[in-house]
Amino acid sequence: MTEESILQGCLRNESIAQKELYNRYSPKMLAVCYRFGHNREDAEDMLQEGFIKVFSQIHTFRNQGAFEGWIRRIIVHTCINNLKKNKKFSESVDLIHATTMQVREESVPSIVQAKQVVECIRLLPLGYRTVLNLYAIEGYSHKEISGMLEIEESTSRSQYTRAKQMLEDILIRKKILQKPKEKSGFFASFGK
Amino acid sequence: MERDFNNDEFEVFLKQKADQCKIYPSEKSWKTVHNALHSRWKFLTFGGSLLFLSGLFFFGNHFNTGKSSNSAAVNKTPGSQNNSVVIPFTPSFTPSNAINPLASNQVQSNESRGFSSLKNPVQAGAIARNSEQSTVNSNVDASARLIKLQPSLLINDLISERMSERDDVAFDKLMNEESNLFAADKMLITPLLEEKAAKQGEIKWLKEMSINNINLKKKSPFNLQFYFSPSVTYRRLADNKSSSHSNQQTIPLSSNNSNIDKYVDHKPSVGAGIGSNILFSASRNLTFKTGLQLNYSRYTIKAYKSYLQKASIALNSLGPVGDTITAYTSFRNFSGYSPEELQNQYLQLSVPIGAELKLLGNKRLQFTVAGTVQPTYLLLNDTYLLSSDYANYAKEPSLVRKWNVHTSMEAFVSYNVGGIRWQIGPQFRYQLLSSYNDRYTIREYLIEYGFRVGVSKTLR
Repeated sequence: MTEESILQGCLRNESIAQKELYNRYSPKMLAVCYRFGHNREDAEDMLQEGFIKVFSQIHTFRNQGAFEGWIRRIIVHTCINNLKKNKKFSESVDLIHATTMQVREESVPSIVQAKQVVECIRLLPLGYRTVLNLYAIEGYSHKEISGMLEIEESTSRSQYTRAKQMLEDILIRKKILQKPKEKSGFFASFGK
Repeated sequence: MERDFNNDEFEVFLKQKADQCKIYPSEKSWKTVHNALHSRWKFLTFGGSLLFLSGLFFFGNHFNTGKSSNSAAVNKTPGSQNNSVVIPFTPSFTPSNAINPLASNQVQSNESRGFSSLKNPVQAGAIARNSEQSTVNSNVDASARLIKLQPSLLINDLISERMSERDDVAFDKLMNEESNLFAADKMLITPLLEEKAAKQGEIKWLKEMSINNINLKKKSPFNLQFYFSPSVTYRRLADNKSSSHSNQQTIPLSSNNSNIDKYVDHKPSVGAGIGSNILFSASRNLTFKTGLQLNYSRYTIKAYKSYLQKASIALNSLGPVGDTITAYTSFRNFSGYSPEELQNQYLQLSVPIGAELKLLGNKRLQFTVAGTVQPTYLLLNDTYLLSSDYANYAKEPSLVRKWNVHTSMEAFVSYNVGGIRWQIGPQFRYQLLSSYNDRYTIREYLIEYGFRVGVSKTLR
């Protein structure tokens, strides 16, 4: 099925088209949810909620951008809304708490390739992880992030800087990355 | 950056690797999405069909009742034959139709004799008009004028005929002809008038009866019901470790033990429910109902009295660190210096919304099944919670859920006597959500078995 026919089918609320769309995009979107969520179950819950929104709001898609991008935005917003329901999330995106957070070295799992990077991202404290996900991976600006998370723009910047530092540490500790002084290229050790 | 990393490169790297990552969701996940998208339509279709069918039943019944209310206007009278009816008649005065009183009396007499054998509505209408005109001129009490007609002749037919201009012409012609005839038979008039006067009393009585019958109201579809249901309450316990961060994971007894019932000793106790419903009869067999219900549920826990000690209640937590509530209690689950019976008690107010379906029976004796969904609010509670190590019982009201949902099923036999319906039958009530909120690591579902005794009466 082409994307256009899937879209038309979904507009007619046809199960086959909906399932096709779900099969096509759910693996990527579940990875997005997984980066934001606490665990796999949480991520699947967010995915379900997100796709229900996608299907119920599909008539608002205007063909002005990529369909995948539109779905992704809905999924990301669903994840953020879910995180915001948790009191601890608002605390974790607070700058004061962020400085004291540490990652336990022994909790870094042994993983490979893209999944390895995602798991390392997930080791970050919740607030760091959310800002890093939104800024570095989803491409939102700090201004947009401040609006989404209801924090100061400066907080978003600081969170991102610290998140990035922490993630670099983790990646280097797990030998996914090497320090630039030791190698000529930062990404030399990582097989693309 | 102290490491001189290229910011853009790092972000591109992260994005690239993150986008490469795919995780395949479970099949259950799609089913949940699918059900959420399509169950509404199923529900609407089902609900619409139900409403449509109920509507059909309702209007079917209403139509039949409408017919019978029309026929109330042609009620059978005690003195009349089975196939004759009595219709009250309101006179109108038309000056052009004023005729000789003597002649008109004769007309009336003829009419009272002749109408009883009328079978044609048109004919009846014409003569009815004749009758009312005559009445005005002959000083006979017009309001008492009654016409005997066949049951098939409805008032509406008669009125429409009266309004017909063509009949007016026929009526005038008839009047003129009859007036001439009656003038010639003057000697015959007097006995007829006497006969008429003698019947006057009977006519008045018939009129009153007839009007009373016409004013009969249709039975209201609404009933008011009161009921009382003694019941016994059981509970079912289940694990609620929804998070990997729950502190309960570290407690030996509780870890990997989903069958919590094995570790507690509880027995049912008698509770009761009382309530009132408004019932709406959508059809002969289907009745919708809603109302208010007060439930008192309780069960007994076998525990032991002990010295005051600390009881930790682990909470489910979404964050990296699990939360724990610490309470002090002197009740233990397993051992202590004296046995003790604790009672967990709940007083709930609920709004049952449901339906009754009559399966068998006649007007007096019926067998009915019913079901309700009951949004419930917990008014009062006295509840002991099990600590995370299952060793203690402690009170922690903050973990008790205030809003809940129950379902109830019942089957009952009802008996109608003197306009009151008595009913009795078993009922089953189940609590859909746990008694405790999601933070508590144990879920509790109350199950009630009982008998309901109810009485209902039609609202006028």
